[in-house]
Amino acid sequence: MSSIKDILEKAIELAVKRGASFAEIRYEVAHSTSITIRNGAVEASASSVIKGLGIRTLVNGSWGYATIEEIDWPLVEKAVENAYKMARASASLRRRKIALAEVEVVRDEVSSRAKVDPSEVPIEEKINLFLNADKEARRYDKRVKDSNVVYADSVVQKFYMNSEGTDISVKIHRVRYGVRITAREGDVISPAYEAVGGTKGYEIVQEKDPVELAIKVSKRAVDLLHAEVPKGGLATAVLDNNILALIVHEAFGHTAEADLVLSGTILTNKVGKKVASDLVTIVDSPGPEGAYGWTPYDDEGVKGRDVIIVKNGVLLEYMQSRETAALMSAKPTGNARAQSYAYPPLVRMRNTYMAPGDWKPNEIIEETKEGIYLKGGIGGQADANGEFMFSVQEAWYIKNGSLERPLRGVTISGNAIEVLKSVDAVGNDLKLGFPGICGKFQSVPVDGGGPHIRCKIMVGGKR
Amino acid sequence: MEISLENIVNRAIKLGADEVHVTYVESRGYSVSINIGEISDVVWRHNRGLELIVIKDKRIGVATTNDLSSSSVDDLVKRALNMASSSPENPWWSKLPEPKPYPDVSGTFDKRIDELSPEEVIEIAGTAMREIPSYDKRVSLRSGVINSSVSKRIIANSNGIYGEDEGTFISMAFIVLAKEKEKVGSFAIGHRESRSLDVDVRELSREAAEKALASLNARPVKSFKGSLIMGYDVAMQFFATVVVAMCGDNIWKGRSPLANKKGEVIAVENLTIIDDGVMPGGYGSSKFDAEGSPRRRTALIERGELKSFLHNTYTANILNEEATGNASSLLSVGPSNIDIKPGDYTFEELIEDVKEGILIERFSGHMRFEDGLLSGVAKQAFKIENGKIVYPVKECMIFGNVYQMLRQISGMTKERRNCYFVVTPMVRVENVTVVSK
Repeated sequence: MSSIKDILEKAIELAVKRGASFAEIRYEVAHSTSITIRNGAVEASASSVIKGLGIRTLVNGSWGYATIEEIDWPLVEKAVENAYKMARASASLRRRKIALAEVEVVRDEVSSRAKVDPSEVPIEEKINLFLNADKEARRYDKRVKDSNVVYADSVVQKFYMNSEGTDISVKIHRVRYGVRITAREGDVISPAYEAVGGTKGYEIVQEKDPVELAIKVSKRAVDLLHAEVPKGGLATAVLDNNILALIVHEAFGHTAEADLVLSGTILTNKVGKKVASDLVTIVDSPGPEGAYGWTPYDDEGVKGRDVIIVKNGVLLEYMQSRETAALMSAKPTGNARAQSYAYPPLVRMRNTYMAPGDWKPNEIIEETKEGIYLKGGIGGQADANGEFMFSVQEAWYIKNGSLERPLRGVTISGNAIEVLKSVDAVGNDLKLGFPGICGKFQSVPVDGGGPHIRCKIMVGGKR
Repeated sequence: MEISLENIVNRAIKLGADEVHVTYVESRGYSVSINIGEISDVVWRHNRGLELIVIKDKRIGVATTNDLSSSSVDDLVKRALNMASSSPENPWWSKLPEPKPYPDVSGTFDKRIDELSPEEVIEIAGTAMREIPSYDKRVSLRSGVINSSVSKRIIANSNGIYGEDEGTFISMAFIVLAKEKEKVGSFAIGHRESRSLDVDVRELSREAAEKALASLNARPVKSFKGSLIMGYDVAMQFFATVVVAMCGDNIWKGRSPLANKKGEVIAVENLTIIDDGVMPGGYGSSKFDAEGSPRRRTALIERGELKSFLHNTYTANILNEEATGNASSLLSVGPSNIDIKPGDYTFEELIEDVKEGILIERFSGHMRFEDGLLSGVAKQAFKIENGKIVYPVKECMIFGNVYQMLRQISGMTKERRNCYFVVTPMVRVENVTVVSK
């Protein structure tokens, strides 16, 4: 690797010599495997080796970014030159110069812990395991009409260097698999989905058996075929960890990302203000180790720390990059993340969750006279103004503290702030582990979670 | 390029593959992002990559890399063979396509895009940044993106297919918001996608600003059942959903409700949909598809009648039909360009006949091809009463069924718009349920 590191160092030197006030470079090598199984057949599987670098320069207060995949000095020189030229050209159109918040110079090497390196597990073993999961999902019931099992692993070696002297290497192992099932009976279609993942090794499949997961998802899809469609309206709702994770990330979390805050979200100018009930604390964390969105250092070489977005209902701080932190007189938080070397970083969440309270989850339901229990989400959308609409996977009608009958086709909508303000019970059962790929312009792995909570939410039904 | 795809094919055959398919893609281009009225990022990229697919005893193995060194290419061949031998047999696999002559496709390469300088790309952003706020004080450019690329694709297989295609692409999208005192309108997206540099950025800026402004002072709407006019972007989503239901893999797997409807009338008489892979200057046009079969024109719906499905060689062989040059990979199928024939209304005429209805420029929600479910939130919507647009509408829910709606189309505009790979008119549909939120 020393020859590569020499090239990276030389590129940074060249950028500074050319006139950049700051330069950083990221070089990555990614080995990955993916398997997609649909209805008993391997629909796609691939083994991939990708490497490349991205160099970012700050010239006259503007960014320029160039990315190449052939690490050959003449092309690296061209990339540096282009990054410089683009920054200079866009500086002529800028009103506000970009500045960077100061951070510590770091030299470090870290790696996620993998008991079993996924790249060393024979591909045949992986394919057979997930083919079997797919088979068991369909064998569960004749009404399972469509099964889709997706597995992906990667081992990514990332190098980061900048003109301030920071030099970091991070190795990340990631394994994730998900099962999507559609059950059908007559005209009724019932979808269900669940995923497992972490920055760990292949041991994940021993910890959470894919076959068990597949059967569980099939069961859920089938059980809901005969459920009723609910009446619409504002309802008292108990949310499970999974649907809460979705709301916290999609409808609330994005509105606390500093770049979006600057362009105007429902949380703009709200620091110190009440945005949720006293019971609500929301955190975005670089860890814990093993979480799917584990980010010890972000893609600006900033060491990650916990961002307490909301504490006891009060908005405390936003998630920041060095650029947004300088602009908002805040401290960087380690939230600048890029999909790969091919993209400049953006402010992104990592592992976002609601902190636990002191209710036992079953007590929340027992103490609910009439309401609806919502479990898991399956698609939807949310806006910067906090308005959201999600489809719920599984729902139950609660009557006098017990689950009376299942409901299907439930959608929930409303405003994240209004929902969070209505929270009147927070469970003690914090669960993290709802891995996903967040798609804000670029795809990055994230995790999330929370306990069970109770709130008021708009419920809609669809056929 | 220093790499010979034929050598890779030969090496894989020598090491035991029955069939080999290899693709090389190289692209260069710029990407400019605008955020809060400022250029936030400018990116120049030069990417390339190799994808190798080998088939051995009906087992398929795929490997990719972007490292073109000879040791890496050796490793690529080994990994693909290992993937194949580790995979189960695909009982439906028949064979890779045979060579056929490729069509000439015009308007897919513009030297000016290939030769764009960083300054020129940034000036496109500059134009939008000046034009949009100058249209009206209440309007601002929230964010935007401009992408330009020149992309070269070379393909070879063990049946002797060899093809090279080079094309240019430019796309831009601007998100514009109107504000008046405390009131904020629903944001409008103005976008263009083209193979040539002939995009009028000023006109696009004006159009996006106008749309954003029109949605200021939105009012809630009472629930009703009536006419829905789909703006170009919504019509694009609608027809793209219909065409997914005509893709061979969805037909074969029984996922599409259109599977047994060939020859039946499934839509109003004046609806004709063509998949046109050789459309001059089409955003999805190329000489050949992902498996190396020639692109062509395929009538999907002709005067309301379901005529044909889209296939690659794999699904065509399974269903005993003809490949239509629509491989998005060896096993999956996708449209090229979707050409919706124009109607005979002007936009004003489309509105004139409406007693009660809604015009939707942006839709956020589901359109599900499996059962036709259409449900979601209307954004950038306008109430129509007695032949006139009366006011912008606050978010409301729309419910319908895509397949029923195909039979309830009551008019389409003469004018059409290119939205990504769909060329579509605005479409009016009757009996759609609108629910206040």
